[in-house]
Amino acid sequence: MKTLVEKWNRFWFEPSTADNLGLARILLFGTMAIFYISTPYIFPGWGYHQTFNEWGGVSAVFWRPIWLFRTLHLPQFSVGEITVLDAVWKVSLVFSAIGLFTRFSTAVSFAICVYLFGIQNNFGRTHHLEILLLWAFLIMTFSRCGDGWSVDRLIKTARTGMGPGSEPREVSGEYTWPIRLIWVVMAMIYFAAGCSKLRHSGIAWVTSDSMSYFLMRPPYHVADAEPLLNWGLWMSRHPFASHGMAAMGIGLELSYPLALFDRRLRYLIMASGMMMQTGIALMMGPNFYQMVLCQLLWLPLDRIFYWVQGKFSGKKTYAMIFDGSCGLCKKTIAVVKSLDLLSHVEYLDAVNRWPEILARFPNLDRDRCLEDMHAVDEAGRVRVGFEAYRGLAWVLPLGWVTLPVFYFPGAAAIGTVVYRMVADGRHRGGCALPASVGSESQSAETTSGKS
Amino acid sequence: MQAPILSRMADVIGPGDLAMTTEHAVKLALVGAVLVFALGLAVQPRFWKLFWKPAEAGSGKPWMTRGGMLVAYGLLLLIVGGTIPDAVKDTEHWPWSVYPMYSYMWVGKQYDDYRLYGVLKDDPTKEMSLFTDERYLQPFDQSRMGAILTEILSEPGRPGLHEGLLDCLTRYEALRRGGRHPGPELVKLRLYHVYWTLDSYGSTIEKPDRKVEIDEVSLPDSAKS
Repeated sequence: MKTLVEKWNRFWFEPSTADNLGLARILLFGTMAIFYISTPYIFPGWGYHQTFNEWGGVSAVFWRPIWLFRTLHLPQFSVGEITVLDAVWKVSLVFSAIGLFTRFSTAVSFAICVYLFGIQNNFGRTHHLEILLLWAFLIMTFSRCGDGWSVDRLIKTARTGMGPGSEPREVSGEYTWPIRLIWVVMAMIYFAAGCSKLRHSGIAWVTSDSMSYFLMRPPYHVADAEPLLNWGLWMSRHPFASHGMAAMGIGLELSYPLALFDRRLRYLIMASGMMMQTGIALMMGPNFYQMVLCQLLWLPLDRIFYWVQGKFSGKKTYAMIFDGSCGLCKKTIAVVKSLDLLSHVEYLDAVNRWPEILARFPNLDRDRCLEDMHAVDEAGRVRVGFEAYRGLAWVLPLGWVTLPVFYFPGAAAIGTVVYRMVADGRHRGGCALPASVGSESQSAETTSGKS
Repeated sequence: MQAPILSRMADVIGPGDLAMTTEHAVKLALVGAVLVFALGLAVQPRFWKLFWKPAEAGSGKPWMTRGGMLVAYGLLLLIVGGTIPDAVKDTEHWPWSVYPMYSYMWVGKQYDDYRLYGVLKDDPTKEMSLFTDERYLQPFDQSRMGAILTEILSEPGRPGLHEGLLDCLTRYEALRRGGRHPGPELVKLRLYHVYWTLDSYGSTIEKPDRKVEIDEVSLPDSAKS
C-alpha cells in the first residue's frame, strides 16, 4: 500500500520547474486565442462555430436550457451582450497566453467560457468539443501557471532584479499536478466514450455494420459539420475497413488511461488520438480541433524547449556593457536575461570587469559605459543607449515582435528621448555615477556603424 | 419520521418496495464492500499522513503545501468525481458527461430526419434543402437543427414550431442580404419529415424515398428585401 501511495504522490506531485507548466499555458491559451480569434476571418464558411454572439438572436422558442443553465439561472443573453462577453473572453485568452495578470485572466477565461461554450447546448443538442478545454482552463486558473514564461514573471524580475542565474530555480509539485490533472481528464474523456459504446452497443459496435452506416450517413448532412473528404463512403463499402476502424477507435479510447502510466505508450496514444480526431473530421464531419491541440499537452514541452535551446544557443553575438553598481541597470539586465532564451547575449559589468572589457573593446570609455548602456554586436559595432536596445531586439527571439515598434517612423527620436529621461532619472534616483563621470549628462549617441 | 426514511431507502434501493432482487443485493454488497474498505482506510491516520506529506525533495522542502494539495484533490474530485454520477446513471449534466457520441448502434439502411426546405422566390415551384450548406441555418448546425425540431415535434401541441420556422426563414434572409451565404432568395420555408434509404455511393442524398410536409411559413412583408 505504501508503494502505491508513493507512486500516487510521485505522479501528482513530483517536483518540477515552472517551465513545463508555463509553456503548457502558452500552448493552451495561445493556440485557443489564435483559433477563436482568427477562424471566423480565415474560414468564414464554418467560422460561425467560433462566434457565439449569434445565439443571442435565435428565437426563444428553441431555448431548452441544460442543467447548468437551469441551476445557475443563466439566461439567453442578447447578441450585444454576448458580443461583449466574447470580446472580453478573447482578450483574457491573449492575456492568459502571455501571462499578464495570469491568475485573473485565466479565471476570466474560464468563467466566460462556461457561458460561451455552454449556450449553444441550450438549443437542442449537447456537443462535447469544448469540455476538455473548459476543464483545462479551470485547472490552469487554480494552478501557478504564471510563475514561468509570463509577463508577470518579467514584471517580478524587473521589480526585484532576481532573474535567471541569480537564484536557484524553484522546483515544486505545484508545477506538476495541473498538467497531470489535464492528462487524467483527457484519459477519462476518451475512456468514458469507449465505455459508453460498450454499454449501449456491446461488442456489436465493432462486429455489426453499425460503423459502416455511421460512415454512410454524413453526406446526408446529419453532422455538425460536413466531412472534408468522401473517403467515408468508400470505407462503408468495405466491411474490413469499417470493422477495423471501429475496433481501432474503441480500442484506442479504452486504452487512453494507459498513457498515464507509460511514457512510450503515451506518445503512441497521443499520436493515435490526434489521427483519430483528424480522421473523424475528414470522413464523418465533426471536428475536434480543440482536442487535437490539447493532445500536445502530453509532450514534455520543457524538455523539447531545452533541446531546441541547446541546438541554437551558445554563440554570444551581442555584448551588453552595463553599470553593475546601479540597481536599475541590474534589474534591466535581469529582464534581458529572462528574454535571452538562446543565450546569445553576454553581460559585462563595467564596474567589476572593466579590465577585461577594455582588453576586448579598447575603443570604449569606462565613464561613458557607466553613464549609458553600451552594446557591441558581432561585427564590432558599438551601440549606445536606445540603439543598444534596438540592436538587442534583433538578437532576442522574443524581441523580434517588437521590431516593427522599434523601427516605426519617429520611434528612434521618441525612444532616444525616453531613454535619456530614464537614464538621467536613475542618476537622480540613487544610482549615482562614479566620481570620474561628469555630472552633466551627455546625450546618447551611436558611434561607428550606427544603424 | 420513520416512514419517510424507509420510503427514501426504498427509493434508493429500488423501485416499489424494500424487497430486493438478487441483482440489487449483489450491487449493494459490492458498493458496501467498497465503502467498508474506504472507511477502513479513512480511519487510519497513517494512511492520510502518506497523502498529506509526500516524500520530500532533496532540499528538504516538502513537494507541496497542504493548501496546494487541497486545491489539486478538490479539482480532481470536482471534475472526475463529478462525472461518476453521470457514468452510473448514464445521464448528462454538461460539462459533466459520459460522452455518448456515436455509442448507439445503427441498424439498417433506413434513415429519417426532419428537414427544412426553402421555396425559391424566382421559381416558387422549386424547393432547396437548407441542410446542404451549414451557413444557411447558422448558428445552428444541421445536427442541432434536426435535434431541436425532433424535440419540438415530440412535445404536445408542438409549442413554438411555427414561430421557430419563421425565425429560421427570416434569419436565412437576413444572412443572405448580409452576404453571409450564397443561397438564393426564399419566400417560404417548409418543414418535412424525410425518409431515405442510405446508399454507400451517396446516390440517394438528393432523392429521398419520401417527404411528408409538416408545416409551412411565408416570409413576412417586414422581412422582405
